[in-house]
Amino acid sequence: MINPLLELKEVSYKNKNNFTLNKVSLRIKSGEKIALLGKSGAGKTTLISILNGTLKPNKGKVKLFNTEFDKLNLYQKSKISTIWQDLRLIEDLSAEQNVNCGLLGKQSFLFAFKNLLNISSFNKAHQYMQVCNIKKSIFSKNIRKISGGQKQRVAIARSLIQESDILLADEPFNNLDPKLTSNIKNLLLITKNKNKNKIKVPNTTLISLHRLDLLDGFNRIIGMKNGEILFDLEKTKLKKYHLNKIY
Amino acid sequence: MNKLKLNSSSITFLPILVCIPIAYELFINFHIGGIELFKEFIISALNPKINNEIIFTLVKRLNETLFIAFFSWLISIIFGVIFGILSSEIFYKILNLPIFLKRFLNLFLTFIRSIHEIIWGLILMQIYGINFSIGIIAICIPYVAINAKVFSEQIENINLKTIESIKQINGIKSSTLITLVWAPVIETFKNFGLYRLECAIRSTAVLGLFGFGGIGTSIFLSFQTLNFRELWTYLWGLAFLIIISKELLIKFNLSNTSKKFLTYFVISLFCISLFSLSFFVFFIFNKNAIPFNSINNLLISNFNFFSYDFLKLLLETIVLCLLSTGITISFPPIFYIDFK
Repeated sequence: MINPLLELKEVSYKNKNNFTLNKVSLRIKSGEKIALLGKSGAGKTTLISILNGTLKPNKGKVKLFNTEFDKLNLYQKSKISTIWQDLRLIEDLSAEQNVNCGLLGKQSFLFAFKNLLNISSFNKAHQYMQVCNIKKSIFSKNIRKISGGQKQRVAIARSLIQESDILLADEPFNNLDPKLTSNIKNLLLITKNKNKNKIKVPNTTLISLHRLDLLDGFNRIIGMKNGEILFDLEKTKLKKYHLNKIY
Repeated sequence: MNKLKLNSSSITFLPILVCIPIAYELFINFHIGGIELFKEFIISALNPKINNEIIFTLVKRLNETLFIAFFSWLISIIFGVIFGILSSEIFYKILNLPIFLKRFLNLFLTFIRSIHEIIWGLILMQIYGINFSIGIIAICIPYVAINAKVFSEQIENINLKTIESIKQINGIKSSTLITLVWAPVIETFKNFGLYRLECAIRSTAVLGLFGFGGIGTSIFLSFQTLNFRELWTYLWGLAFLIIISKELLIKFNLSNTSKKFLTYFVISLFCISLFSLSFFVFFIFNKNAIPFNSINNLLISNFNFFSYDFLKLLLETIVLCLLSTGITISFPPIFYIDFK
């Protein structure tokens, strides 16, 4: 049996008085492309925050590479990258500086300092930004001065530049037009063999979605409601009644 | 007739009520004994003394003032940023340090902030005598604490979600910390830090009244001899210095500077920090300190610390603070409405 990359065992998370996650168990294996479905408030964002270690569960265990999250070192933890629903970019920095922030896990303090002074190399950041369809004129613009769709792609480029093994994305196609949505989705779901870009894309992906027309390309679908996983199945086995359960 | 409603806007005007007792005090104590002197003082403002000798003295004194003010400003900004970061919660969150250290540091900073630079100057003067270094250190001590408070408050405003997102990248802690605090520190430096130079110039002038050198000493001497024309030459000089420094600093914009200049700027900032630190260490440990003669008197008077007089003094200080605070916080909104 192949060891899972990421594993949740009976995880519960209580926010004030309510359980936002209730005894959730999940195993994510290498190479899986998972779509996470559910209404707003179903617990998708909480699940992603627990998977990337931002939130600590009240009960249960989270394991990455078969090791409990608290026992991982920084290098191991950096194998997970996240695209947040609210992007969480640093508003006072430029687009390229924000993308370069994604390299903090692999670079020294001097790099971080030079990045803030705007004197570091941006070659790699530009490469990732171009793949995310960001125009050159946007590269040096301050985040405050660019549109929502551009910010969205900057956030995607920042998570891709981390060259992680697992990508967790919380509604990453917000603010994108249909063509960009298709391009970015193809980029995030590309498999190792088919990747013709010069960049590394995470092999394992979990994306939370609201739009059912974007399910092509995923091989596993997880449905959530009221903090619980209602179904977890292969894409080919997804039926309408499954969706009726969660919406 | 509309009723006066108490809400957040109207409450801001309430402190203006302090003007009533102050106006009453001014009214009952009014006399015209010094009207001639006052007239001479006002006329001298339009007719300051200008000759080679006084211009030479003015330039020399302004030089001294600028020297003391600039160094104390620079040192207080650098250490203000350092202590600001050290006294902000984000520092302890990222480095996983116990939060009681923050509380201890805040207490220490509050203590040194509560003593005015003049008092620090007088205390240090008793120990080390009068020189420029004392002026710089006397200004630096409370300024570092004030700057630290402002920088820390701005750093605390960083969005928790932004902190989480940068932490999630899993870089080394120092990289995460600097990436998060950089923008608020630079922004505060631009908005508040540059203004502090103006404050430092004024503080230097005030310390000069106690003989620390700079333009303040000349102002004090002119005032003592009632030489108002000379006094106004110095006052205009001081105003000119503040205006020029303000204009120069407004033009100095970090975001528009070239990469090369920025590199040199950071290197020089680092060297100055290092120099300042060694200066402080040298100052504290050098052996040229004048014995603290007043220490015995202080110990003797210690007996009366909790007497009625002491409490009365304390109460008077609090009342004066409340009155002056009332005026300073209630007038700006009125001027704001007026000018709008």
